[in-house]
Amino acid sequence: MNVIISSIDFIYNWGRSNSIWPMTFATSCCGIEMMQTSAANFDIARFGSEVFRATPRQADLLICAGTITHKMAPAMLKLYQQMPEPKYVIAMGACTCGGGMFTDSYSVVKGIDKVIPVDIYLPMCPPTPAALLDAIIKLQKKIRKETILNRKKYIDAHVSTLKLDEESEILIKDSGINIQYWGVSGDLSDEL
Amino acid sequence: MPNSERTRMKINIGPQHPSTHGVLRLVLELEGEIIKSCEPVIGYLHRGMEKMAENRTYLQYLPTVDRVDYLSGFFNSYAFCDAVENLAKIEVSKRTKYIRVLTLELNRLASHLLWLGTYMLDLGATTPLFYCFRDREIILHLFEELTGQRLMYNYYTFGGLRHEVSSDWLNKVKDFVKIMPSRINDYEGIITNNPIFVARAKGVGIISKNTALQYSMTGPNLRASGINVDFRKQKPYLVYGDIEFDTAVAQNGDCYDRYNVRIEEMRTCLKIISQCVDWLLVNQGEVLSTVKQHLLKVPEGEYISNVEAPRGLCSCYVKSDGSSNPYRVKWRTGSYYSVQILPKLLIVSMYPDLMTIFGSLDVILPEVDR
Amino acid sequence: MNFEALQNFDIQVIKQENSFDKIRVDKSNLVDLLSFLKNNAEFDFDTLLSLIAIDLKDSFELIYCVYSTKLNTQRQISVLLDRNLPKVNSIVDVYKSAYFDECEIYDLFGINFENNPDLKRLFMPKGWIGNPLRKDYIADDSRLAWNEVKNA
Repeated sequence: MNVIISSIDFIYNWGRSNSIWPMTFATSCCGIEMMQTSAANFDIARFGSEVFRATPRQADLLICAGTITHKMAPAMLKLYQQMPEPKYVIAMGACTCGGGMFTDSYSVVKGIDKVIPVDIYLPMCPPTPAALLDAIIKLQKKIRKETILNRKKYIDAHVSTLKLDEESEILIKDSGINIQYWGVSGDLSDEL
Repeated sequence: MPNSERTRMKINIGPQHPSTHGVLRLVLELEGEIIKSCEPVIGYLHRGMEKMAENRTYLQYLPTVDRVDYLSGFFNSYAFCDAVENLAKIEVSKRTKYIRVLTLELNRLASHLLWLGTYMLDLGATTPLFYCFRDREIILHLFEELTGQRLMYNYYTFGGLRHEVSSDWLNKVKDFVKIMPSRINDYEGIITNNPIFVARAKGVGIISKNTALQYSMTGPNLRASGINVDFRKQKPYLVYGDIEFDTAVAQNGDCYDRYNVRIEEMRTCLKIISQCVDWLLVNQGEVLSTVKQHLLKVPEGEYISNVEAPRGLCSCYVKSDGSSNPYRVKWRTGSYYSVQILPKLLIVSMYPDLMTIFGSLDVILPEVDR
Repeated sequence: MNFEALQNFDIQVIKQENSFDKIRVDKSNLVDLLSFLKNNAEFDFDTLLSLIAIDLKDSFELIYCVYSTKLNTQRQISVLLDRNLPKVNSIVDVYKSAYFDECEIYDLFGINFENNPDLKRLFMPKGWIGNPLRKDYIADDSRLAWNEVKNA
């Protein structure tokens, strides 16, 4: 059984790992190095990331580049929950790995693995584009080791254990104004 | 259409959006395509820079200062070093001043190149982005050879620099200055008279002289409205008094003029750089500091230092009480007031003009939130 | 600078060594002094460059840095406030750019500005308790789900 599955695994993982589409989530200084990676000198498109999607519904990699503060963390959690499975996270830069230079500050989350599960940690302040490409290659190797028999294990590893706080500032709850959604029916208030 | 059919739509341009300016949230109220009200929400990148200074010594705070505005790290580093040098009465040699001016102007050029590339990307043109990033890579290679870092340099110390500059590096800068003017002419050739860009940017987002002064604008945003205030000329610091250069001023104050002022500033940067390189190849001097940095105790007092940064005036207020930690550090940056003027410019305009106006003001969020 | 013309505002020029000159004024005369400096052609201070708040151990100090673009002069005006109940008049009618500055100082120091149109927290999240930049602030918000105190 495993012999048949291993060749299906190979093709399935080959297709997924060679076309990872990241999402633009650049908060701070590491975002500039991410933009520099997608420019002409260090081209990220030759590794499969042809486009950077703006919406989380169409992306499968969240490169978290930049410091996350207490005000921004609910927004990041919401974006992560909106991404469809299978999804991966790269923690880029020292601020996201463990607080970095701002460890003694009152308003910085000390490492984003307190909020969402992380696959690859990439230290440096900021990482050079060559280091970011190295992280993407390591992620590709990690994806190639997965198997489709045990998909539940991978899906469970990527669920965040935190619930969103009632006072998070993403949606204006009691604005008193009729918000119209086009093309979609039903009650969407707890999905958006 | 009867009035009951018309509803106002409240939309949220959230903290994460594909335009590359950072985590700013705008809550807009639209009626059709006209913007009726706008409220910016900031604070998504507040890292507590000012409070962190009180727990660290002066030398420990110096690498953190580069992160206040990461695209112009040399300017923030100079503002802090200048304040501490004036408080502690430390002298700086002339060769150090010329090298500081050279690195500051190279940094200004890199910052304007990134602004141009991302502004054009917001408007829909993807070609200038690749050209500008190619030129920016050459400048970052030069900085990496000089200081070891691409983005956060940490090169200035109190009273001097970390190490000497070699004449090989100065010759490389000279070669770079020779090829750059034709490239700026290329950018102007595809953008300045482009009918789409002219139709989108001319007459949009006009800031009058009185409004600019009321909202305390500085830098290229103020000079595009017709007021000729450049802190390199009004209160010359370092060796700007000995170098010849002109400031760029425009008359109308719309987005097209702000673009023109920044292109002229790029040409001015090249002129200043070539004069500095010519002086440095001929004259010698001491560059290393004679002060023990890690034991620095600054006498009591306070000082405000002014620097003309790419986004406006960057000034650093340092108050010390005689110990080895600063008592209070406060940063005044240019983008903070650009975000404040944004609702006033948006209320009279349409929704497609939002990115044109916001991009031309050149806002970087870590400067706003600190 | 001509200080005699300002004598009816009851000012006091403070010169300390190793520091810039400050014009100390009482908080009740602050708005009048600033509008006089702005409208008078001899001084003509037309922009407010920045607004700095300092926590001295027994009082607060506010420094207003004004600048004149035509005459190229820069001045600092300073006001002392009480530590227990700090409040002062807002200058949003004189210089519009002071609105963000005053909201920031209200958020980080807890100083109240009267007649400000809409004073609110700017940097910290909405339900935050405390003013971080005061000298006696202890950083410990245990209501956050990802705080170290709770997860330990």
